[in-house]
Amino acid sequence: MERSEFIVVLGPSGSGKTTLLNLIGGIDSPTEGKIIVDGVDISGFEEEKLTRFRREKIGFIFQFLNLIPTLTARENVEFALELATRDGAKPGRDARELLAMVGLKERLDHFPYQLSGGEQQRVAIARALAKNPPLMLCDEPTGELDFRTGKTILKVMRELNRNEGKTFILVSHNAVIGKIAGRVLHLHDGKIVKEERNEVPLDPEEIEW
Amino acid sequence: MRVVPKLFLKNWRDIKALKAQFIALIFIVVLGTMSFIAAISAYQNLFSSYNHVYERLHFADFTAKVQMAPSQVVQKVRDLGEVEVAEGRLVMDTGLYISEKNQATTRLIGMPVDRHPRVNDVLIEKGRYFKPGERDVCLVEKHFAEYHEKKPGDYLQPIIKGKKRGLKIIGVAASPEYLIPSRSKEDIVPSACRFAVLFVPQNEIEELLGTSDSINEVCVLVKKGTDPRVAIEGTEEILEPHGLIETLKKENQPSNAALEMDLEGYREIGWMMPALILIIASLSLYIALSRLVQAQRGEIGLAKALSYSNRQVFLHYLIFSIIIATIGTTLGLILGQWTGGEITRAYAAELGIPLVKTRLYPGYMLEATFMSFFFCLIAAIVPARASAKMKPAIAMRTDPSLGIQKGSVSIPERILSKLLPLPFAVKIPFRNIFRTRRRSLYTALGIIFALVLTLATWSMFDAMDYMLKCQAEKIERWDMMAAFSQPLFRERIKEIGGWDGVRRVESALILPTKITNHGKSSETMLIAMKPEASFHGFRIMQKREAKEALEERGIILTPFIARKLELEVCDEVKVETPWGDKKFTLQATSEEFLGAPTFIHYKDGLKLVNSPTEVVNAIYLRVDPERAEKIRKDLFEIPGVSSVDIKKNIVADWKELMGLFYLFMGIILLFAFAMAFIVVFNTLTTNILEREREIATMRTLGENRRRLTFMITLENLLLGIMALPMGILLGFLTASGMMKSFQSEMFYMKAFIYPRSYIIVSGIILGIMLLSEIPAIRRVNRLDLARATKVLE
Repeated sequence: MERSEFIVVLGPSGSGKTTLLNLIGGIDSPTEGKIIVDGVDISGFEEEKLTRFRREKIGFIFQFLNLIPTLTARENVEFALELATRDGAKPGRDARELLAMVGLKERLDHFPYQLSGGEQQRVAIARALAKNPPLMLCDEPTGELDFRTGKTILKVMRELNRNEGKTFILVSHNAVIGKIAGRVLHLHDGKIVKEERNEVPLDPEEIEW
Repeated sequence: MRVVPKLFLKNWRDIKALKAQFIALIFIVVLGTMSFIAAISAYQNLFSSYNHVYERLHFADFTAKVQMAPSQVVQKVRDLGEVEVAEGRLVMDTGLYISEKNQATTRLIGMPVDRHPRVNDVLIEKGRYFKPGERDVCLVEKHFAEYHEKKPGDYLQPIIKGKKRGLKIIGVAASPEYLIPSRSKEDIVPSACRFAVLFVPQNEIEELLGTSDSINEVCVLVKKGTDPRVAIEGTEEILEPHGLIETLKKENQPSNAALEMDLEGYREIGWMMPALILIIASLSLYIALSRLVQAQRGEIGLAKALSYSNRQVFLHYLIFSIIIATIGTTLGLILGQWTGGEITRAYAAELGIPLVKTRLYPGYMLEATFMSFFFCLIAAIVPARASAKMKPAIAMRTDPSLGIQKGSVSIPERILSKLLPLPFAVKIPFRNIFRTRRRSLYTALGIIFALVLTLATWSMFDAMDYMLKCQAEKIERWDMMAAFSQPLFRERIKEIGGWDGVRRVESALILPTKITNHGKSSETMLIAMKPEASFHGFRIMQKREAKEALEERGIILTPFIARKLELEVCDEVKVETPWGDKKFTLQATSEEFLGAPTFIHYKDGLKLVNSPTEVVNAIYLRVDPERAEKIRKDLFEIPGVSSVDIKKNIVADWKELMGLFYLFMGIILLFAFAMAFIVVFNTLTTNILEREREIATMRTLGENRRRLTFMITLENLLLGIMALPMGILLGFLTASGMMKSFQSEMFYMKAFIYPRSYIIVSGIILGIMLLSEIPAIRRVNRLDLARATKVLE
């Protein structure tokens, strides 16, 4: 996997897509083999080291949004910013800018329950970006959203990949989504059974499901 | 019919999945039921044990004391229609020589030798009863015998008129009058060490007193179903011409009154503790079941879609509380019965109750069962109804927004954030408290109840300590006190003042008295003292000096007696003594902790006993501590001495007496601590279960365990700190109420809590809260992030 790539991992239920994502993201450990991210083998990391790795390198976007319900949109993003700055790092953007990037500058002080599903997922993206991680891991990010909202979210991700150079690995069971990726990996029974390259990935607006 | 067992299976699996919480909830129901059964059965057991002793040994309904009367008067009393049986006897208090360094006060009680007395009999525990014609023998009361290891064949030496008289012990006996060896109702600190009751042949005591065919006490059992007041009036009329001193009713008999006071404490604790604990159980169960219903809404929807009826779903969730109530109550009843039996045995052994009865109390067991089921079912009805009301389609939707609870910024946080910027480690705990307000409120209530129970119990230790310090240091300002059964003149007092080691001698005239106002009366001790005397420290409730209040015809009463007799300062009151009556004016009231002494001017005392010369019958000494024992020995050799007390020994006896009381209080404290632990454990476990996904998300984002632990601890502590003021306030009010219920004419307990105790109790409760979060923190640390971030609550 190269920097700034947009990879979609496809496969049926139980094929190991999420497990692959969890292993790369350091929230699961392999029983055998190695996980090398950015040239470092993380498979032997202790919990503290893994925590730091996640904080610095990974931006997670979950299927179930996973916002902290007691914090507003801005605070959810600031929470991640606070984590990033704890080790002395200087994030490029503040919460307002990040939320503006995902089209939520009018909804800064709304709590998650006051936002729609799509808006919540955009907050989740802004939160993932707050730490300015090189690698974004997205687990079925459109799984719980309607078609239109799903497309908007995919568009945001694609733009971030193009404009910010973020590496994206997106897991989905929806084969159509593969069309927006530069590379598509097909998983079956825990193994990559097929790899496709899209020379001209489609714009999310162009796909239908 | 097949679906019901499946639901049962689900019940069982849910219980297994949440076993720690279920065990905690069962435990709290066990505590509630157990404390009820233990306290009530101990109360009932002790109550029936005493009554069994009283019945078996024919404990007198009342005892009339006279200066001296011919024994024929007893027959006149027996002839009264309401009297079942009456016995006359001679009783005298004097000194007892135990060793060169140790003397005690003894009461010699005359007994018939040809038969056991028909009233106030004794139970021979060792040795035998008297034989006709026996001389120089005695039966010794068991408390003293056990303390001093006296057995049949040993000798005891009462000091009669300054001379020792050897009596051979022929038996050790238990007496219904001395289940607690109290000398008099003023003797609040009974002591097996300092006070001996010796039963001697009646003719022998006659000889010692130099009388024949005389008595100074009549003990009476009234016929069943008759009014004892009529028998008392008749008896008093017969004895009046012979110098009636007082009539002691059964309820005022010192030993019986002390026992009743103790038992009353059990009864109160028996109701208060389980009520508090079961309310807590109810709230904790409500929190746990509400969460379970919320977490299982998908399963509820599915069950309904599969045609389970509302009733079946309702019952499914109700069953959890029925299981908890059934196991908790069963264990509670068994453990309560066992604990009640053990408390009875420990108490009876400590006090030396000779006959102990323990049994099952089905009525109370039923009450306990009803109570615990009531509280458990009440707690389950709301969540169970919520489960039954769910619409299947909505319940089964996996829309994540359904799982999202509302967030808000509370007013305290708004105020605080204006003062200083709050980091997320503070902000999140704050929001979490206000996020599930009802749960936070119930948890706070649990902490408040635990604080109330702890503080109220703790206050007993403080109040006792304060009372003892006040009484020993500020009120009783003497080292040694001697009472005499015959007058002591000025020359003798002067002589005692000159003894080696005696720093100061003060004297008083102590008279038994009855104070009456408009038909209401109180029997107490009247102390006639010189206003300048310093042996008694007054705590005058009005703004005036004791010296001023002790003017001629002035009287000082305790506030309790003044209230009882409905007296205000400046009111007139009648003072009756065996020697004469006089009217006095209430000049002041003075707080006394132990006993209810009444004070008048010394000159008025002399007038009451019609004495033209200065006489006293009590002296108060300040002595050099190293000379105290020698001085006591010399005092016992003065003819007519009836008791000599060293204050230091009384204080030591009091502390020993309190040992058992402190043990019970300690048990209650443990209950309170267990309660605080379970309440917080249950809430935190529920909170963590419910927030697994967001905690896992935070960890996935890179939040470390330390900060998460800090946030959980802060949330917990904030909840505790919010509950503290209310808990402390209610704790103090409960303590005051409890103290009031313990108050009696002879015993005044003031609600008192040392400032340090508030800090200690708060610290302990907060410490327990921190301990109880350990399982929740371990759970957070062991979270499977991959799973938890995908869980839908």
